Amino acid sequence: MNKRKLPFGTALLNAPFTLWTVIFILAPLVLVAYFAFTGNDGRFSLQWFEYIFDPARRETYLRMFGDSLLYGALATGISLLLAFPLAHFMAQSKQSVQRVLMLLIMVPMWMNFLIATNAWRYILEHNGLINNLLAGIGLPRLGMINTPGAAILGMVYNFVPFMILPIYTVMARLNVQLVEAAQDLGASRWEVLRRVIVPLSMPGVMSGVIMVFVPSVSVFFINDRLGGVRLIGDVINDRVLNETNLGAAFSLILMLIILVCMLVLNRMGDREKGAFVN
Amino acid sequence: MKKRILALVLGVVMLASVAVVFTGCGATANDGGLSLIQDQLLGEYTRDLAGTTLNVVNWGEFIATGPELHIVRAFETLTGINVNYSTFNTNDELHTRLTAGGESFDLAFPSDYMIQRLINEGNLNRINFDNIPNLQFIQREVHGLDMLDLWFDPGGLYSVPYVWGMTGLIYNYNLVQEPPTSWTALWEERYAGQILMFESSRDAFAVAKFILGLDVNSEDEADWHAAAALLRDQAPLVRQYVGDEIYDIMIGGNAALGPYYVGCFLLMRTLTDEDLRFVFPEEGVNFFVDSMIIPATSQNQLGAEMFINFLLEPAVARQNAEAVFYAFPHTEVVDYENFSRRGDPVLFPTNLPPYQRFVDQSREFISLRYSLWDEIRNIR
Repeated sequence: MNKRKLPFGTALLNAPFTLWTVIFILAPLVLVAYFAFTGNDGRFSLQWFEYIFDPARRETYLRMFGDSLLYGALATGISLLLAFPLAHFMAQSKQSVQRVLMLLIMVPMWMNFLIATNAWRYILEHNGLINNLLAGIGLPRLGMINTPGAAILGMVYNFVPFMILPIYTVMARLNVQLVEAAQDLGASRWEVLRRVIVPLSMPGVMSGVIMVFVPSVSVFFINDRLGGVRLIGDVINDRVLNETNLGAAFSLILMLIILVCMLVLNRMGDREKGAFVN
Repeated sequence: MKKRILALVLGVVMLASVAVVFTGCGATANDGGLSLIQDQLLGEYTRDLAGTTLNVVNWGEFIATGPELHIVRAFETLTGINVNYSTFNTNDELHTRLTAGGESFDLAFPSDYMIQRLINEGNLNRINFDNIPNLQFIQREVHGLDMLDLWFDPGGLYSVPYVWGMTGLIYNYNLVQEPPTSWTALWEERYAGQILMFESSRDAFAVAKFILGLDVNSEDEADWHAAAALLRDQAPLVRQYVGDEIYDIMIGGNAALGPYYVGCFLLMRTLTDEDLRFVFPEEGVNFFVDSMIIPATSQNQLGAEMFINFLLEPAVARQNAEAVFYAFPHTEVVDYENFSRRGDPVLFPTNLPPYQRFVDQSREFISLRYSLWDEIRNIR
């Protein structure tokens, strides 16, 4: 690597973004860390971490962090399973179909998630849309609301566009000749998918996974309203108003967990590249 | 050609929806209904403050917005003050907004214990009652309490009571086997999965403490652990811990019973065909007062006092009491012949069970309550 000085003009163009990063990304991070390590008396203190990991509470909070990871991972996995085939289909469709599908994916994102979540409640309720339809044709009602499945459904509904878009973007630019070349060389459809399309889509998959996993792990409200499942995001939401510093400590731990997950994912991503693309 | 037709259709649809929006707003007159009450106003409302801004923050659905009187718009028409009105959801949220800086408010409507905290922190201004002659209409005695000398603001220097209310048990008559009379109905196995519970930990712990006969403000750790044990037993039976979602759930007939505030029940009852009923459980209930206060950051104290006086105008308060389903401690409302909820046994009970009031608690016990609550809510 040779260090190269940026031309003055480029540096100047970059200034707004650098300023933005410092003020709105770095400064808040530093503040969260500062609050997390500051006691009620305003001095450096580990009291909030001692509080969280106090033997009387440890089990509760470790389980909540664990649940958050589990729900986040499940929501991400399901989003990927839904998004990949859809993105593949979209990328191969006519331009006009692509545009319509894109619109359909974007429209739910225009709607405030509070409204969407309450709408899902109405759909899944014991006396809600689906169950009233079932009862109307003489079938038994299903217990859908307040189940872990409903929580995950809500998360997937809200975050799946963030999985579809990056995968679609990568797939739409995928060189069709590579697919044709594989077919010419006698690859079955399955082999084309496994050995050409999947590896080449990995960058999109990776950013999709990150963009769904991060909000899913720190999600609040949706999970509680639909699934009756309380996750660490709800705890932060509760605590930050009364005990800002404790909320910051929870938040800092969550950020560390997410950071570790990102590092592991990046490693995996690199390995994938090494195995297939070289 | 096709595109043009499409554009035309879209244009018509957009125009039509704009028209619908405008006619939809036409329910209240442009002056907010001021002309209907103007000759009944008792106070002097000068236009000295015309052009100034008044930042007001209130609970949602907590002021009349029509169809006859839109209080904020009528006040704006009368005084020329621009009211910047916003709402809050919880006392904790309001506390953060009042004290964090960034926003400044001239008038807010928190609950009793939060007013006590704000006074102790020095975050409120004393009110100049010379500017509020309509204070004379405040009903002095409510269930043995002097409404101008309440526990959270001795001497009533910082607050003017807006409404009072109580907690109680809401139930769907067709979904319970017999009408409940005790909070313990929320612990009955036969209603498993049909029970709602407070999402607010302060209210939830209060219910458990009523059953155990404990002080809701106790500063004895053992009391909190005892209440937590009871709430842990309840957790597997609870369908959902609720805030205002209780409206949708009870209105839709999706749960048999749950605790909530009396005014919300009265509103709920008007929105559904379900046979919803309300009971004050025999063990006791929480009595609360939401009052008007002027934060220390206020930039327009005179305007705030003028607005308080306007809200206490008999003609305004009567309209307000029809729109807000809580009890106004206002003599001209309580004694008004045509008040639709006059003497309502739920709103103005004659046989009140023993009641307890919240006071502001020390950080230590708030923290204890939250950690116990996290543990309870983690039970599946």
